[in-house]
Amino acid sequence: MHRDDAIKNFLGIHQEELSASVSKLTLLALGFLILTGCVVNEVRPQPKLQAVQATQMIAQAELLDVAVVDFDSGVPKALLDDEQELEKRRIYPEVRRAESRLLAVRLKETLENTGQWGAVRVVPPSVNYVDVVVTGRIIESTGSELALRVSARDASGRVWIDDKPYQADADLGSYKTEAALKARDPFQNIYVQIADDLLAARQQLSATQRREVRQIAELRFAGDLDPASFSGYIQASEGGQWSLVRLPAADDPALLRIRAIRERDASVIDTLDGYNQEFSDQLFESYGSFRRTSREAIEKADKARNQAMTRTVLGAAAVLGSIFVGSNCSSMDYNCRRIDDAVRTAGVIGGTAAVMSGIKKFSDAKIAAQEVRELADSFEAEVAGQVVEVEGRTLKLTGTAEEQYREWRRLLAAIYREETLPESAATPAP
Amino acid sequence: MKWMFAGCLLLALIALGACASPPTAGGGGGGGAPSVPTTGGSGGGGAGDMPSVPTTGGSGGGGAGEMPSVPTTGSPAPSTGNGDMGNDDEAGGSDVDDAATTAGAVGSTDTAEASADASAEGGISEEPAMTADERKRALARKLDESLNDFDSTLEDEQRRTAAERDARTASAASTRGDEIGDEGRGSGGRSGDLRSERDRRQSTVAGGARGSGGAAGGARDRGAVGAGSGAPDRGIPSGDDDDIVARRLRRAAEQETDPELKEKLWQEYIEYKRNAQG
Repeated sequence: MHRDDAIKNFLGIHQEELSASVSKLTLLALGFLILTGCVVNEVRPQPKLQAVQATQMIAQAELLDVAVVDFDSGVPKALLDDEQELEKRRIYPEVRRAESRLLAVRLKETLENTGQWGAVRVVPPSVNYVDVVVTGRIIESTGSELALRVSARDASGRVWIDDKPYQADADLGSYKTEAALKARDPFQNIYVQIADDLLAARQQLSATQRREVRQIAELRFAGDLDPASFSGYIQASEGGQWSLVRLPAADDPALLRIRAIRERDASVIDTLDGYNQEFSDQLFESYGSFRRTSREAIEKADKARNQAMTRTVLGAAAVLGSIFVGSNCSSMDYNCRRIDDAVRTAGVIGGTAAVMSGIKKFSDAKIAAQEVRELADSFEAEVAGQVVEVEGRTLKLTGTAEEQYREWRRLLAAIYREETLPESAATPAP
Repeated sequence: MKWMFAGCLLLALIALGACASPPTAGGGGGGGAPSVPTTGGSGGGGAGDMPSVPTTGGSGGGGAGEMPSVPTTGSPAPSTGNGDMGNDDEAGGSDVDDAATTAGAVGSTDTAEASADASAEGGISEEPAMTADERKRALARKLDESLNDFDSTLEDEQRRTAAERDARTASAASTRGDEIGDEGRGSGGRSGDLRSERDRRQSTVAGGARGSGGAAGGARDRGAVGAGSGAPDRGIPSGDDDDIVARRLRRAAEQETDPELKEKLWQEYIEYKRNAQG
């Protein structure tokens, strides 16, 4: 009976040890799986979304123009001088400066192709009084991932999209060939989602509201240029919402003058948009190529870093486990102890090898990261001049226009004065 | 005493003679020849600057050398130099404009300020010889001229951009050789406009877009823009009701620098408009 109890106790003890070992092994395996899970680069085919196309004619009075403002580059100001941190986050300021226009142009092209909108233009932030204004900020932009935050509001101040995040992984199909890259942007899905959201917001407006948006845009423009003639047609609430009070007569001479000026304003916007389009066209191939190669380098770097991490951690765990995990062999069981020693030795050797391999992989990851940096440097060098040029031209034209508008403001005020002052008051005494 | 009296008399005579003499070119703060349209907004000189084209009066009143009432254009063209042209009678308008501009009246929407500017605008409102109607007409003409000048500025800029784009396209086409070939010039090489754009648009729904930038809406000074845009003077339909495609075509035609291609684009535009209107 004693013997049976002793056997039971012995087995019980071993069962506890066994279960503890199993738990450790399970944890180790889980850790391994988690770590290796990071290494797996799952290449999922992206769905090729298509923006909703117009299927019927939209009345001219309800067709809204859209201004896509150059995106905010999203470079944190605090990090502007911290190159290491920027590199760690894969933010390359010059590339971002270019992307602020390039991505805006992509969105514009997507919107244009839907046939849902009037004129869609990429404009600098100084442009106002367009029916719908879309702004965006780049959160993440690499060859493999794009994340944006986008807002949109109409001329009446109504918010259509409120700083909504958009994120997408690259559609690798677009990187396969030059033709594929030309046919579809790797992040086209993001632009499609934004376009569809804008459309959904527009569809919530009644036809009357859409007409009002256009009228308010025109009257706000008129009010800016000729406040004396156009005060009282619209009013602003405390929350910045504009509403229509009344409309000027269709043949109001002041309105006709404003429309003539607004047409010039539209030409300025067209010209500015032309700069951006030209900029985008010029960089189309090199930017696509940069994205593709940088994606490969980023993928390589990430993979190497993850592998390095896995190998180092598992190797270290193997070495430590081999040394510190207690033996279950009895002191008299030589076979068991020999096997145990052999396993420990193998564990230490294997673990050390894994750690060494991990260190090597870290080195590979560093080299790959350097490659990403060099690619970005090269692209930055290529675009820097063009960015400066397009920014310079934009500034020059907006400056000229600004100056011209001041002149027109004065003329319009003078005309208003002549039209409103009584003849006797306007004519000086002899 | 006699000598002093004679000296004073001589000085007075010289001064009077200088005032009465017709304006001469150049010179310092005194007279100057009116010649080039005034710049209206772009800097100009400081005190004593004169508008280069006479305006209709000014605070200086009449007197010798008073010029006919030609309104200033107020365009943002380059300054005419030292700003020492014209004569004293024209000191009102553009001089004040320049001062307002350079003083940083940026984006002002202040009615009071605008009125103050307006009162100084070319001195038109203070011209005793003009009726209110004449003054209104003069101001309207001035606005038209200013718009036309701005059109020219924009067209120059657009032409320059188009020329650069053409040069780039040609360069790209030549480097690609047969890969692009002839189509580089026409549509394929010029992304964002012309046929490629049109095809894309036509494959969707034209959407009934409206005119330039969607902004024009109403009346448009066809004479100014049409002529300046290089539109041939025959049968070019009004661009007031252009949809997006028509507008693109029109813009492409306006911007095209190659006369032959320009002509083709106008033809295409006319044809499109004809089809669109049924």
